[in-house]
Amino acid sequence: MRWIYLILIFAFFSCSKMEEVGSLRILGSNTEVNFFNETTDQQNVFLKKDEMYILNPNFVSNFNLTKYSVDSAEIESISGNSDTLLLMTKTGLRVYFPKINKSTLLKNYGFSICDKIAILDSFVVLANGETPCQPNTNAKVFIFKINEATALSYLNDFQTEPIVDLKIFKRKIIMLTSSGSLGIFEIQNGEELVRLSETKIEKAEFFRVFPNSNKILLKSKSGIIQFKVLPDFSLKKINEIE
Amino acid sequence: MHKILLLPIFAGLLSSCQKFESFQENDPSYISEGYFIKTSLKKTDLGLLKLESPQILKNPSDMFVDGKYLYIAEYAKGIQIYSDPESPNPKALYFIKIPAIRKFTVKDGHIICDNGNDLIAFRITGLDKIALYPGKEDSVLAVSSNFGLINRKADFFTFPNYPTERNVYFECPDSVDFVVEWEKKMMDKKLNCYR
Repeated sequence: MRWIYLILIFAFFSCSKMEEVGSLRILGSNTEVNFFNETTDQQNVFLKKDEMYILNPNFVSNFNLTKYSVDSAEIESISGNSDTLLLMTKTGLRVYFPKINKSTLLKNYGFSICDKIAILDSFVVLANGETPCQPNTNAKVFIFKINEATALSYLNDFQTEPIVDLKIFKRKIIMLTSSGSLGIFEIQNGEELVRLSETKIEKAEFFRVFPNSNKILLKSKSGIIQFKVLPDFSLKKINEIE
Repeated sequence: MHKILLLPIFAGLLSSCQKFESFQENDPSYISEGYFIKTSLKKTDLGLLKLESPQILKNPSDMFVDGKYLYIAEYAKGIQIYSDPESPNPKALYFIKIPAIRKFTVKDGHIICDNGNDLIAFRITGLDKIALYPGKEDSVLAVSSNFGLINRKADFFTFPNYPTERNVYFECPDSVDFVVEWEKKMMDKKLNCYR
């Protein structure tokens, strides 16, 4: 009997101690951070853990949302258009076709959920390295190709400064580096990434593209800078809101 | 017989506690600094949507431009609207206070944004007809002159109650609804949440 009392007393103190020091909880998913997305054809896509909601562009205020589910994918970020979406998930990179509700897990070339992704036709542009997920890996930009909508094949890669933002603008690839270089690129000869223009902005953080009006808005340390994209894809500063 | 059975249980409990205790101390990322809740909001605060005079923006979190206006959002504050987006100095017109906004878009005369866990829509087609006297504020909960809150989808999102940084320990947000500001400082107590 004494032993039982001893165990009970111990359990009381030990449990309270366990609660104090042993209740470590892992919280946070990128889906909840990257929840608000815009596709290259200007559709709004809202992310939840295994779900995507595309906002019907007609009568937007009615919140007519079409739900798409990707089983057990745990989506972290997306890129693409409303026909073909590239999903970065906890299990790897997936290509997803919303209209037929079909997704394929692509070959994993050491991707991480911190990677920046974009899809242009069947080309996948992916930037990784020197991120919180891969702090000791050199920053690189990779070009892959999706063959027959299912297989991912490696084409090329380039050393770069860490990429902090990556988007598609009028079939061109826009990348922002950690040092504030905003470059506009295009894929030439099926595997080369050729820079069309470069603009330096001190402490640039992220940008948003507006293809219909040929504009880019960029967040820098001092405020928001508005650029006009000229026909040769060079940038002309319109104004800066501080 | 009882004593023999109880001894392994006792030893098991003891060793499991030690394992828990040593987890964070053995983690190299568990350094002396952590993230603490600085500013939080209650669910009831989400309804404080107001039209106010322009404000000085400190840390924009999102932006949009169309032919008529330039819009800049500040995290967990609201959206400032500017006229003459093509001019060298766009003029700040109004600030729409949205207490837990993060991202937004503008479509067909509506601002679509989040507010905490909610998805909301503002009609702004009547923005040029609004008269707000300097220093005054106005509720935008009702639609008047084609301006105001028009739709709300409650609990559509999950507001991230954790710092955006990764590999960090932070104060568990158990007693608050929405953490809108974190403070990085020296830890004076154990932090039991990690991202």
